Amino acid sequence: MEKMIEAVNVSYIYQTKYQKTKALSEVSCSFERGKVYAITGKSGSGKSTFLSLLAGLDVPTEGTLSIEGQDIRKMDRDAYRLNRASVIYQAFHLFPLLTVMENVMFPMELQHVARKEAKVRAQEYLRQVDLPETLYKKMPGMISGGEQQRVAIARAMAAGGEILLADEPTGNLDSQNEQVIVDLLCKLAHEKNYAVIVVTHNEAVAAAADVVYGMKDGELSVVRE
Amino acid sequence: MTAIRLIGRNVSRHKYKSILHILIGVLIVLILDIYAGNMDRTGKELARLPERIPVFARISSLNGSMRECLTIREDRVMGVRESEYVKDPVFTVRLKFGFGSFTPEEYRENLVHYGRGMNGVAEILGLEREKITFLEGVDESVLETAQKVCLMEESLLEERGLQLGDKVMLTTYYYRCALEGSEVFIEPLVTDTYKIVGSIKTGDYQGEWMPPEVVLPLDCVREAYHSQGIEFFADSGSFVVEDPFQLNALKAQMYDEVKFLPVFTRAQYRYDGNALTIMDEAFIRAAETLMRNLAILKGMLPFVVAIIVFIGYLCSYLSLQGRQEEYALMRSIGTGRGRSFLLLLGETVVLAAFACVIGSIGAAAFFGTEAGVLVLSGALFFLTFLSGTAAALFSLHRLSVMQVLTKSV
Repeated sequence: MEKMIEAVNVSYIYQTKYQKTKALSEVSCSFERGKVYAITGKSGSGKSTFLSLLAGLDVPTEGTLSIEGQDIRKMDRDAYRLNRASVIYQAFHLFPLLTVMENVMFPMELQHVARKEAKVRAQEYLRQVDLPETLYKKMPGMISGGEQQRVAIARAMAAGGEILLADEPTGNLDSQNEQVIVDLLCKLAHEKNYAVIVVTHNEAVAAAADVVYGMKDGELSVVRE
Repeated sequence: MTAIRLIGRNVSRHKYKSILHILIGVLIVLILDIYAGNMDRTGKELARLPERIPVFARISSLNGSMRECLTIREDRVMGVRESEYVKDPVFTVRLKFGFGSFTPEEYRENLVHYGRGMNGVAEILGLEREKITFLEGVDESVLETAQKVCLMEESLLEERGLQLGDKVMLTTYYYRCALEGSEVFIEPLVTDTYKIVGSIKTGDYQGEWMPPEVVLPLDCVREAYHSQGIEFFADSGSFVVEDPFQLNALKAQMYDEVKFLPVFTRAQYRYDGNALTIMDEAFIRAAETLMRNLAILKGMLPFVVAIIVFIGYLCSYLSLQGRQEEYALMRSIGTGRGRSFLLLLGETVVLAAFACVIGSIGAAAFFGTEAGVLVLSGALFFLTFLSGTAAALFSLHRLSVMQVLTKSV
């Protein structure tokens, strides 16, 4: 299958005034559509740094990271995040003063989708993540963590991308909600052909992944393929 | 359109922050309006000062004791009249008149009327403007010409059976003062015919000085002096300073070119009108006070600007501290740095505009601040407050999006 994302000898160094810290060391791997990838490892191993590079929030210090053959350094990374790659987080991170519906509509508003159409599409995505219609007009603070994470996934879907990056998506959820989210991520990869990359500590999440990478001291290794 | 909707939505959803922002903005606008209003009023007062406190100057004897009956040389008279720093110069020359033509030997019976030549209605007691009636089509400016015309006291007209428009023959004598000592001579000047173009009503005047019964235009008298080969002297002179803010230039011209001297009270008593007193004390005192106030206000401007920039920075910085996550999320969803910056700045623009409008209405209602000042202070507020906001927004650029968003709840 065609490689969606390819990292070749990617290194990343955090540089402050006084010290340099190598967070990633010559990471090489690739990600394909239709699969769920899990990256496991201890805190501080470099997982989130790698995810931020994959999200285009930063660029590698060394090595090449390419999206469908295009070097991420040369890409419009804002447009990449807006149209192709979405990130969901452990803390859900919904806009607190926007309703559930408005949160899902937000990326479409940035893409200048007509409001009416954005609303119809948002409703469809919210249905796909099994969120009850009664919650659409609620503020994020008024719904549960599991529901919030489902809204975050619906928002990621609304952006219409093909890459979903998840940083500990089940970290704040109970086991029942955890399973719902894992199922949703798998459904996105297997049915909607997304490349889903999950950074996690959670073994159950890793078990559901098609490919598992391990990260230790900034070095990536294949755990299960 | 999307940006406007997003900005509007953010402003309304963050309502407490927005209200606080607007309140702070209104306070700043009000303070700025008071400040700018003060500056404007002081500036206008300063500009109006020459009108409110005109600076008069008067020619006197060197010791300053005499202001009339002087001998003011013609070059000094003309020096004053031709100066670009002088407004409304009025010079007079004392004359004696008799009706008809008569010889010097017959002067005792005939030379009985007192008169003056003048180029404007001088401040002569008993000769106020409202007491002069001009012939139709003639006004005070006739005195600035060299026409052979005269104004005559009403009772004299009556006594002689004359009326406005009539012509009358007058024999004129002039006063010649000895430059040293106190001798005054009255000598023949000219006999000529003059058209009566105005009447003077001095009947009710009870003062010590005798007001003139006949008035001729100064230049008409001056020409008579010249035609007789007599050196012309004026007996009094005064003027208003055209632009009191150019007092130094005026003084330089009057003292260096026209050769006036400052009054020297210990000088000897003389008729020579060679000293100039410029009554500028009140003007200078008022102008200095206003200029000092204006300088203080202007000097405060950089501090005022810095304070507003700082308040704008602080307001936005504090407000953004609670919205770092929102900013990071916007960036993570794909809103570019520039767009995020403009969206957040746009919110402040809206809030600042509200503050500006409310503050300006308040200032106009409570302090009566003028529209120009409101616009100026509004613009100053807008620019400075938004500069502070922009500085605070730039600090967000250093934020690590991933670091903010990977913090767990």
